[in-house]
Amino acid sequence: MTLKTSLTRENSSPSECARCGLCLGVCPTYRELPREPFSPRGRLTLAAALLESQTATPGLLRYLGSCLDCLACAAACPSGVPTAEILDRAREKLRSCFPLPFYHRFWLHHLLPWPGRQIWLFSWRRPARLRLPSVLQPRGKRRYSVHFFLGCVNNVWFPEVALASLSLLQEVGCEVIIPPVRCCGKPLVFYGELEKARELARYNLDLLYEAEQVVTDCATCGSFLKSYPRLLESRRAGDFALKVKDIGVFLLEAGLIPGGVGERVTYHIPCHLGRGQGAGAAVTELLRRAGEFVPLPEAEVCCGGAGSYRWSYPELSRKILKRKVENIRRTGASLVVTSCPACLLQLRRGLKGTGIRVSHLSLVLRGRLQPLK
Amino acid sequence: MKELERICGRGRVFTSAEELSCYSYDASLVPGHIPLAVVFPANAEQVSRVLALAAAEGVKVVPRGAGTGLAGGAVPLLPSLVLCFTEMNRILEIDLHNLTAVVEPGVVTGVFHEEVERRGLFYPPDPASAPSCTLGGNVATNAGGLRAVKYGVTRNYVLGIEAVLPGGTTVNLGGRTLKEVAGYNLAQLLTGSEGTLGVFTRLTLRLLPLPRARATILAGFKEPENAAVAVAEILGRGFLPAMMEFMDRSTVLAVEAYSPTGLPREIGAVLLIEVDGAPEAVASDMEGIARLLGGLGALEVRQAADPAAAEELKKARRAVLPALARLRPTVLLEDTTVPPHKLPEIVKAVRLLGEKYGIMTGTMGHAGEGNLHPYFLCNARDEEEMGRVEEAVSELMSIALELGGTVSGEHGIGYAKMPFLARRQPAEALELMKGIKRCFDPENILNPGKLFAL
Repeated sequence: MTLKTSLTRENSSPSECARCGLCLGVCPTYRELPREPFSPRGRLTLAAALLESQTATPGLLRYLGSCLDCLACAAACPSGVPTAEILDRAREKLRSCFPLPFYHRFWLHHLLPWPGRQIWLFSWRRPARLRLPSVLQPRGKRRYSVHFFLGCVNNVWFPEVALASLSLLQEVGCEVIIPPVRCCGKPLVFYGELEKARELARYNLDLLYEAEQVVTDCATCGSFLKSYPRLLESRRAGDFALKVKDIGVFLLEAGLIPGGVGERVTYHIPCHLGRGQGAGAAVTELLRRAGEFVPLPEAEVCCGGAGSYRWSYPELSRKILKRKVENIRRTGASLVVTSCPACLLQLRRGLKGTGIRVSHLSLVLRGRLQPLK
Repeated sequence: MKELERICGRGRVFTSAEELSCYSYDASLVPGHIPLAVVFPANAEQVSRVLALAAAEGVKVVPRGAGTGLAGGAVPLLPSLVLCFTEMNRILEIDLHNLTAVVEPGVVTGVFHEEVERRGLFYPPDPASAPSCTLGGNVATNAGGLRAVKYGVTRNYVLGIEAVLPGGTTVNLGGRTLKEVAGYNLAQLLTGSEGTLGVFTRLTLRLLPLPRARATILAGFKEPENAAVAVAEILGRGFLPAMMEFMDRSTVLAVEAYSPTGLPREIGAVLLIEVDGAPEAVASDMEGIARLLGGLGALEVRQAADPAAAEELKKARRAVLPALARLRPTVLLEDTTVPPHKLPEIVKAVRLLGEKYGIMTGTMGHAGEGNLHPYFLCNARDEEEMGRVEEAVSELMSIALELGGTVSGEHGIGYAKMPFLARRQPAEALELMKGIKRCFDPENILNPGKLFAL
């Protein structure tokens, strides 16, 4: 059999995956379950089959759904295969074949897109939105005007984080406008509801389009806002995406002088901050200036939190978290800092009983090191 | 199927269509048959029972690690059972006194590197796929890597193999000592056998002490001839770098377009050299080599002694694959090895082949041992173009053989290079090989259709 005749259509993959297999070396799920369908290369094969043949099976749902969306594969791929985009399309296809279970439908359709309902349901947490005016003035001279994107989780579950972020922005001279945004849309895409996500994206884009800069303190929101151009395929979204910044990046560029932290700290880089926004080094640098900083081994490797992953794939989530916790313990730090509420929740449960605390960058910089409630 | 599940446990067998579809390929272009099933044994006993079952049922078996081979060695050509070792991935022992390690075959090579280096030890074979590939796969293909000029290849580090033969017999081959002459060296026979003689359940590997220092030099030359002379001079003057990587003009241009490192445009060849050893020796070697290169008319010489600066220099080498992949969808990397002094000839020949067949080509690779990787940039879906590529590759093989080299330095024959094996090996040698295969595997159960037709 010649080389020529050995090439057939069956061997071709979407977006020119060369099947080199380098992604197997960086995928957190493959690391725990070294079987091809848990690898990016395998998932691309499955996604191609799904998108071409239109038949979905529970197996496909399980394998494709177990992707953390940590973006490590795309970063390692020498061929530049846009794995995230392909898997998003596959998730959409799966959604049309497998309707969501009731509990998912409830929070995805009836809770997440409706800030009012979230605030009502979580009013006992004293959501940030209820404690804020629509505009905040700078402390001292007005140097910037920014719009703050108040993400769902920080709004209702970690309002202190949002308040700390806003306080920091005021500190560096920002007039901060806090428009009534809705969910950024990321969870909906993760569960294959692209159209609903687009509705939310258009709404948010209309609200934020006139902003000079858009700052957020949730790494996932930030990364997803920056991917609006791909979601909406509009030039307006492209212009908008350039204005979005993570708060760590903004504060570093604004010249914030971090106060002394007074204990050994390390930093876990959320996937959506490091690979999602290319901001891992910048934010690490900001924290490094704040105190006795020790770098975290494998800082950029996923913690296994991935939004609601801990409930969808508890076993995998736990195993991936275990590795992260071992790395954290190895640093000897008493405090680990991060920039994403999903990571916060995941790290907190992993570090329970170790005496090591977790906090959000904004809280640490603001000098408030109380444990999260 | 039920029998497999009984032996290994239900969770260790893949039978669904989607699962099986993921095991019909590896990293080569060789298309494969969907397997009958995939089984992930947990230990040697399960492996033995699975092979016994396969023999009893007359079912073919294809062993597999991570599936990163470039010659189709892990691709099923017939309906077969894929025996995947990725879940036998424990490092069982790292012996600091005796400088040995005992591992299961599914250990990822990169993970093994980290573990031994953490203990101040060194396992030199470093194929480019180290972040994903497995030690079992490395032994099956006698994997090479970038450090072979100084440290040799996987074969030089295989001391012993616990193997399971077709039929299910488990046998301990080789031993734990560096030196032994006690009958034929069967562990070395299995090394590079590409899954056709037996499978591995345990490997005893040799380790070295970790070199205390490393330094990197990047040198640019006008022509490949200059680079080849430099390689010869460096070795001739008594230096033995750990690595001497070569890139020709096409490669340099591609890399600069993708991720500029500021190399001057006149550069037609680049050597990336790494020396390792005691700090004083490394410093002295660096200086000596740099001076030597300057004396040979290198257009540019950059040195880096600290790890961060060295990483910067190595960026160019790491950018090669992505840079080439941006140009065309398919990067067909060949593996022809020639005596090192023939480097300029092969580089020129590859360029001429590209012109003759209308294909984008170039050459990079391990200059120290002459193991070069000519590449053909093409589109696997373009049948016409691939026909031309096939002819070009065939001609390349003839040229490499004429220059006194071989058809595969480290990727192996697998399925993709079978047509060339007969050109490389005399008929008598092939007959001996077939005899050995029949001796180990009379029913041709293990990885049938690979290496040679029986």
